[in-house]
Amino acid sequence: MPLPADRFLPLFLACQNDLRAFIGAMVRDPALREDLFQEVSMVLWRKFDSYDLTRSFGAWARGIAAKKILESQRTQSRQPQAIPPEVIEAVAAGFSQAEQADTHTWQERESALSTCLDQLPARSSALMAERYHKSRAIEDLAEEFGMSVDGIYQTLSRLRRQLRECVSRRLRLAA
Amino acid sequence: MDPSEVSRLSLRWLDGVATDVERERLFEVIAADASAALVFAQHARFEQLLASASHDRARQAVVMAATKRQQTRHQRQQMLWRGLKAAAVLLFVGPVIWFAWPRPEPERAVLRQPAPRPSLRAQPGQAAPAAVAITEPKPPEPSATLPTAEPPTVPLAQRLTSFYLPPMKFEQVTLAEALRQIEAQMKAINQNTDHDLARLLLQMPASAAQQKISFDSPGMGVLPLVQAIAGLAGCEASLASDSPRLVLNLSNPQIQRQTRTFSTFTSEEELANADQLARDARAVGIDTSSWQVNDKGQRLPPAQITASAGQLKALDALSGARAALAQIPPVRVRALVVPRPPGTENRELTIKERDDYLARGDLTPSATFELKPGTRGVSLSPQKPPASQAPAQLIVHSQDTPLHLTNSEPQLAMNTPSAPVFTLRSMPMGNGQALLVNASPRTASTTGSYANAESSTKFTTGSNTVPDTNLSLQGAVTAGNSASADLIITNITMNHSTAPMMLWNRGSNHYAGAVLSLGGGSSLVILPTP
Repeated sequence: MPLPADRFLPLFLACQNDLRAFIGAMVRDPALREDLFQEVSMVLWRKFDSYDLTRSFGAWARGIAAKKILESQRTQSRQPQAIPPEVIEAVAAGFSQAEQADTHTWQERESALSTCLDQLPARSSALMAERYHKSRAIEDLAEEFGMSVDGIYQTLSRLRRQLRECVSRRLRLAA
Repeated sequence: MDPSEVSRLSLRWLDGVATDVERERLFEVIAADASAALVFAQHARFEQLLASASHDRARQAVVMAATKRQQTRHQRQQMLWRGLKAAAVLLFVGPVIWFAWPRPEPERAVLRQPAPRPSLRAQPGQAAPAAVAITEPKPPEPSATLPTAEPPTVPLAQRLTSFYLPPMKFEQVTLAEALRQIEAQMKAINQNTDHDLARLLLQMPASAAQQKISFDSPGMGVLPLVQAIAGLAGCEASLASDSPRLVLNLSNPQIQRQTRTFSTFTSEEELANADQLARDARAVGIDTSSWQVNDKGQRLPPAQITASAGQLKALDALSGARAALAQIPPVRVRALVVPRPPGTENRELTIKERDDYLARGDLTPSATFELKPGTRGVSLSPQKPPASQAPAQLIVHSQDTPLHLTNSEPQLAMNTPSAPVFTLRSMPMGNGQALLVNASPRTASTTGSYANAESSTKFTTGSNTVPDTNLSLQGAVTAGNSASADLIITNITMNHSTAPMMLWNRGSNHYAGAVLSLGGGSSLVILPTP
């Protein structure tokens, strides 16, 4: 029996960030990432009838995304360094494991992160916004913030570590 | 490999700074070791979380900036207009009075200037966030010096009670911070700054500002929400009678604890309410572990409970908010595609525009749905398109961006200037079908290609906010360009909190609607049926 269309959207919306994360981790070109994401979304919708409700929707979506990534590697010139299929498969499995281990919804984590971002000093906050909202390359940030590439990288790493710890702490508290 | 080394390599890859050697090493270890793949996945997910949160924050900033610009523009216009009116009065009425008045020099009319005040004031040197005033409540200022307020159609307390804010969760945040967040929410969804709310002043005792509170609001009016969190911080909030001020005072220490009694719960509805009450009680820090649990797993309060006055106040506010939400009638909403009005940006409709659209007989709604305030949104199943609609209005577009489609049909991919987070693409799919994609902001300039899909394919993705209108569209807007495949809106979610606000905001019990630019000469009009 075909699955009703209205079942699709909640499942899809719940996993879309993970899907973006997966594609983003495998594809370096930002425009190609978005194209792939749109393309995978369309395939998911088209093939929704064949989705087995007993399986994880996220895993199913990643399986399709993995195929699309491999296809794009064959046809796109924008991704010069191909990632071996076994790596893509292993990363997809890693995502499934991470998803299963995560007891919090995306919204809960995002809300916790937002509170943590509020606590950052202005300069750090600006750096994070440039990096993650405007998707600026580290080299550009180094120039803008008057630091070396390594300095920016170290600062970002430290901020991410702090934020990860802060998010975990807040989620623990909330639980 | 050492997990910290996997982390380092993962982050270098995700940051785009990994060398070829590092990349090879990372892929090698991921393929060989499942725990390394997990570490990599965790970092990638966190990167996406950072990106997603950053986009949300930027969107909120856009909303805030737009609101402030609108407010400033409006204040300037209002001052200019009043100045002109005053000048006109002096020019024409002044001489008449001068000559007609038999007595000594007449008193000059006192012109009231609308003193532009920030809605929530800051005092220098205080530790609280800049927007929030931490002042010891003072006696009311003489009314002559107060800003001129528009004559309210309903009392301010009532308006503040029915100005619903979205669900908000406070976890061990200071009272000052909680109020700052409330202010931010309030401003973000307050489209109409022409009233007292935009000038609302909040005062709290400095000693309470750093009190930490936790509270989980299901979506409440401003006043009950402030009263609830004030109660948890040991304060009482009340509205000044002479000006738009919410004043928090420290509670009387003599009434720190209070008792609440409950009658027996029998009907299913009463039992469900009691169970909700138990959840709310836990949310405000009341220990419910000793409360009885019935065979349906519902936790029921005992005949009498004792808690702090603030906790009980917060509990009352929560119960009241739920009851109030249940009372708000749903609104029937229709969505239709129209030729783009000249110079239109994404914005709310005026009442007149709404009435004009409703009066037009040549427009058939593409979808109608019910907007239930207090719920997360409205989910619609795909609907049969009306046969009479002329869908060419929607999808005949010039090529706005270099989005390449394999069938070379007209397409649309635009990023509306006034609402940079709203992006739409229309992609003909063959056999008279078209797909309208509601995509994320970053795709605005994306190039790529799509295979021509089957005519039955009709979906896309995305979750977008349109700041200017406070509407949120989620999911698919699927379109067709033949009489048998008109625009189908499969899912529309409106920000649930904005509906009651807009009902109130318009002062006429109607949310007038919104017009969203689709680009290429078309607009999507969303308007409730009166």
